[in-house]
Amino acid sequence: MSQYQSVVCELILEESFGELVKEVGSYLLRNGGQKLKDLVKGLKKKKSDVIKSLIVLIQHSLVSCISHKSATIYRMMTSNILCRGMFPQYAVTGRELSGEIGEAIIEDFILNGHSCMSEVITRVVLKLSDTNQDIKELKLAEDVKNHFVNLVDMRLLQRVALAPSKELGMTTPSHSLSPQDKYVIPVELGASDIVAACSARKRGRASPDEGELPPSKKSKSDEQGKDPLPPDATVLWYIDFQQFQCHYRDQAIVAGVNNRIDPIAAGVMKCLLSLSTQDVDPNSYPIVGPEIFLLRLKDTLPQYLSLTDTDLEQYLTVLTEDGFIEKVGEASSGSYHINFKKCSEILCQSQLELVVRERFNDKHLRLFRLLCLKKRLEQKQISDMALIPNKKAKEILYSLLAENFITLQEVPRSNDYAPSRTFHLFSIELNTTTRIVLQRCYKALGNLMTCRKEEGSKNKRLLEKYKLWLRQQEAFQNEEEPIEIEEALTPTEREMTENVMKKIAKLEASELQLMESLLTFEEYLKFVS
Amino acid sequence: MAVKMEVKMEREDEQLSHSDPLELEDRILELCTANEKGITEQTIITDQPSINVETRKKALQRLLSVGKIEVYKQGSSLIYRLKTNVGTSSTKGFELEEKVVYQIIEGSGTKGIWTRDIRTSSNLTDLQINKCLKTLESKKLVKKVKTVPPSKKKIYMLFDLEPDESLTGGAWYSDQEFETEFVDVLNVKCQQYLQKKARNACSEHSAPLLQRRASSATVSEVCEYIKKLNISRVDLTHRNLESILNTLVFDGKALMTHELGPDGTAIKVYRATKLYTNGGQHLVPGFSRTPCGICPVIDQCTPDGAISPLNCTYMKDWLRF
Ligand code: SF4
Repeated sequence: MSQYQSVVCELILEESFGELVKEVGSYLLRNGGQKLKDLVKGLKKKKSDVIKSLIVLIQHSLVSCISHKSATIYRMMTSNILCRGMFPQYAVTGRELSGEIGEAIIEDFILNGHSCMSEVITRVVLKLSDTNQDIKELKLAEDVKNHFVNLVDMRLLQRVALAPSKELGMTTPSHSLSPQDKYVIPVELGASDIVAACSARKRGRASPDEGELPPSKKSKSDEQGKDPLPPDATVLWYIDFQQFQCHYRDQAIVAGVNNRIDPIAAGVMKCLLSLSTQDVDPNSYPIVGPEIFLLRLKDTLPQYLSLTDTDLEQYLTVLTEDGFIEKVGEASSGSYHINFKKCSEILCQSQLELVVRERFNDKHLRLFRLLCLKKRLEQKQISDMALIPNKKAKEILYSLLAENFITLQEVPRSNDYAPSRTFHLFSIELNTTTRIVLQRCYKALGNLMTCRKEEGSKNKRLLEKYKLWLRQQEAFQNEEEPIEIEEALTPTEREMTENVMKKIAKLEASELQLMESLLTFEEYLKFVS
Repeated sequence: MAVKMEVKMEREDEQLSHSDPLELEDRILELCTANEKGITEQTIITDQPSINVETRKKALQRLLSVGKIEVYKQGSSLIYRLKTNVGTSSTKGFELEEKVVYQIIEGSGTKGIWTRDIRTSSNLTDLQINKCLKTLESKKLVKKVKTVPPSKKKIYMLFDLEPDESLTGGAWYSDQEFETEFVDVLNVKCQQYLQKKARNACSEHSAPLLQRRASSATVSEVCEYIKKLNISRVDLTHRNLESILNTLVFDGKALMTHELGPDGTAIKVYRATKLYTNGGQHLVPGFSRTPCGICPVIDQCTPDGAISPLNCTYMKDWLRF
């Protein structure tokens, strides 16, 4: 865990859960796994506060609990925190794959952490029927349930294995479930049960004191209160981060094929990917996928591609030429597998190249790629091959060297290291360069988040006022009752706020795009480390 | 006297004495002069049958080593002929030093030689060498050539030699300056050609593999195209254009593969390629779209340092609407 990664993690924790949780989280990040006792001592905080924070973190799959000689060690799951940074993207993906309801389900998990199925469905039904009064609740409940099952089928949601923890007074995730058990839906929930739960919830919400509570607390108070526990209360579900990341990786591969070859090739690749990732644990990183027979592929190819047999074979040859897939055997008209390592290397290298081009210019890119292709070269060779005059080539090489995109090796011909008798070899280690750029990505991400936080807090009052003003405007337009606009917003104030909001939106969007770059690099490094 | 005369007459009429290699040398030279195309060893044997192999070999060797004749191979036989270049004749009347310097320069051929190397091989002082060089230059026997960077030395070679490409830099240099623009123009033109070929291939074939094969161009094809464009003052060789095409490969704009030529040997072909990441708006990676992605001081930037995201001007400009 690098320093820059920790900064990003802390910012993500603070943004999602506030100051206290962030402090607990960052202590764990900096000091590694801890026992509760040591954690309380180290943080100099009230034990109950620490426990509260831990519970939040555990509920969101950000801390793991491992029993170790009668004590439990709490450890941050850093990669999950970083995934959390991509949550807005997760919601978008939920919508792409499973519509508005899918999006709502994912958002609900993001907000509430581990939850049982009935709770999620109830909350989603409530949310959607709030905005859309006409939908029949019964039908909606059925729909939401189907979408939930659908998401489980896509492996985007999975069960969390639980074990009681005395220390925290709750059940905590324990060992991981076997692959078969991960996706088993325990009880048949009737839609009418859910509707009943919803109306109970609505009644509860109508009472004034509970209305403002955040949903997570609400559900807890419900459990303690009059509502009986739902029948599936002991089976908790959560988002499978890895599956989402795999989904993005697959998307990136398909996009790469699309750009490099054409949309039909991308269609073929997509089909190959879906055949390769079925029933494969997203946590394992096989270098190559399972063997796929041509006949099976033909059966699964979507109709719209309408490929003749020869065309399909040509596409497979082209994909093989480019290194995305490999031919494995000739039996039953041929079989192929995806080379995941190669795919991720291709994508990673092409990202790095663009990073170099954007940071410097085309000639830098030329030398960078030349070194990628030829591995090790002397300056003179480089300038000859790249047709760049010596002096310029030297300038370029040293600027690349200064930012660690390439490395320089001295190979003395005599042992006095005399410069005139020493070879200076430039080279690129793709994984070293990737690591360095990855760290810069984290740094950039931290910087953007810091700026966004700063913009938000600097203009907090203004933003709040603006929100209030918007609400009043809305009410005014609905002509419910004429509202006194208490504090009118001056045009300059309005302009300023809109400006701030634009900035924040731009920062947010850039953070997400940045995370895409991050993912490409991380994906490649998984294979080389 | 009479006796002497007799002897001489006899020699001229008949044969050379067996023991005088010097005279044999003269005779060989005479023979060579008479036969401009050169002579074989057999010619000498027929002319002087009584000379033993040893003496003949020695004479030939000496003549070769002092540079009066040269030898080359024709079919399976060796041909000797007079060395015709300025070499031997023009050093006549030279001072000894001049002769030495001239010969050293001559020996260096089209690669030329640097004054310092002349000094080490001649053991003359700088002063002497400079004087010799001046005279030789004024007689238009040798010339000074400036080489291209990085060595940028002044070197000498015989006046009527074409300097080697390694000195002039070849087609990409004029007046020892690298013509970056020229190279860039060629790079763009080649790329355009490959792209056009790829476009045509796309419209003509639907099968992807055929498309690929049809978009590939050989170096000669590209050569022809560039010739027709008439943009180059110098004659560009096959090799020149191959280097240009290679820069396209390094730029990531083209790919080199091998194809089976008509005679069954593998030939290099080039075709335009597309980037993996040029689809839609994602031309540039997310990282590079942030100011930090292209920031020259990112390694010095810390949240609480002198350079920090909160006081960063790049960031401020980027966030200005
Ligand atoms: S915040 Fe500014 S100074 Fe720091 S890395 Fe980004 S662009 Fe550079």
